[in-house]
Amino acid sequence: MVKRVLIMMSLTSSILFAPLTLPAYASNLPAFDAQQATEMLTSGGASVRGRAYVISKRGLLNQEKTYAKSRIISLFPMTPYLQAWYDRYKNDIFAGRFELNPATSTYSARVLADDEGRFQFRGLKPGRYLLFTEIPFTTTVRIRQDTGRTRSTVQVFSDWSAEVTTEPIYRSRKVKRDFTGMVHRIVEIKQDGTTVDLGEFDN
Amino acid sequence: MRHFNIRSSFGITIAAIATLSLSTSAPAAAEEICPASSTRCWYLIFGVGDAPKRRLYLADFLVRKPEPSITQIDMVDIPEQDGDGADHYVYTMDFKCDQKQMRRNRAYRMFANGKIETQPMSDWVPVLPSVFQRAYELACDPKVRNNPSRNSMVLTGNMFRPIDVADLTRQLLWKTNSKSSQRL
Repeated sequence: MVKRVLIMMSLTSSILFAPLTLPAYASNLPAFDAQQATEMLTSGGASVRGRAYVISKRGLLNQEKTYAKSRIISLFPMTPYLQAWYDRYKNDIFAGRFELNPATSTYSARVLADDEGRFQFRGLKPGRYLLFTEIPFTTTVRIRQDTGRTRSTVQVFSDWSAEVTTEPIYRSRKVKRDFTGMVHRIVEIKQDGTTVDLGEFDN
Repeated sequence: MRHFNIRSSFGITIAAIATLSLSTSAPAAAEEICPASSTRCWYLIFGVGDAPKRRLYLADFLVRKPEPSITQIDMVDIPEQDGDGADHYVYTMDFKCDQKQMRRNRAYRMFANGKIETQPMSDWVPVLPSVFQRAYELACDPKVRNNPSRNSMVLTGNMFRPIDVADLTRQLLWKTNSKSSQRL
């Protein structure tokens, strides 16, 4: 566990958005300003805490939540660049990741959620931030497979004409599949020294 | 108070973590462990004390050269419990490698409530033993930076903010969260 976390924090955390990233100019976003992001990340006295989850199973009567247990939670300062990116991709973060400047994830606050998915960022300045995390989960899905066989139905009408309908025979079964949910949220800290409690939240 | 480096029992644990964490990325060179795009590359370089008064020191392997004769690194000092209530300390240290001298360029300590107290630049002094000797070695000897695991230095992460390094260290190595953390 520790091994996995150390490796993740040190190596893969910064590839959150890195692979397949296109140059920022490709999308006509404003330039990413590292100096501004650094300034927004200098120490303050505010905190943000919460517990992120995704709905991993939706039933008729209940739903199942999967929390961000031991997951990396990132908090990005809302620079003009990030705001423009978010405005464009907030409804399709998955696609937007491929156009995000990798430096954005470098200049971020990052914490590790505990084994119940709770996290806390400390030492933040007042301002706007984008919180982001990925939550993997496994859920059961029903898939329909074509068996290769067909079923024919003969319908005979009153004039003795007939119609033959042939349709494939499907087999339905349940399988477990892995998914990754993405949770993102705008966080606004209005006053230094305060704690913004997001509670339990998803998208 | 007991000083230790990697040979103490706690150190052995750290060494094991290092071995595990580095085993997936075969080359031990720091430059390869921390991508070129990194702005931080924190390594655990020294520890001291027994629970509940342990203290860990991390250093940023991305050394700077503000002047040709000066090598500069950032360090984080994380107390498990500190008498003066500081959550962690951050130092920017300057070294004159050829003269084996050091000075504190700037430093601050941060309290759990977010308050920060800064300390002014110090005079040049000979490199002190223990943690500063370790910092001197990594700042001035590229062989140490290129072989951190052989020199008992453990990759901890590339978090941009020192406070995130402090929280992660407490969370993973001491199984505690930050002093100010609260349950929902």
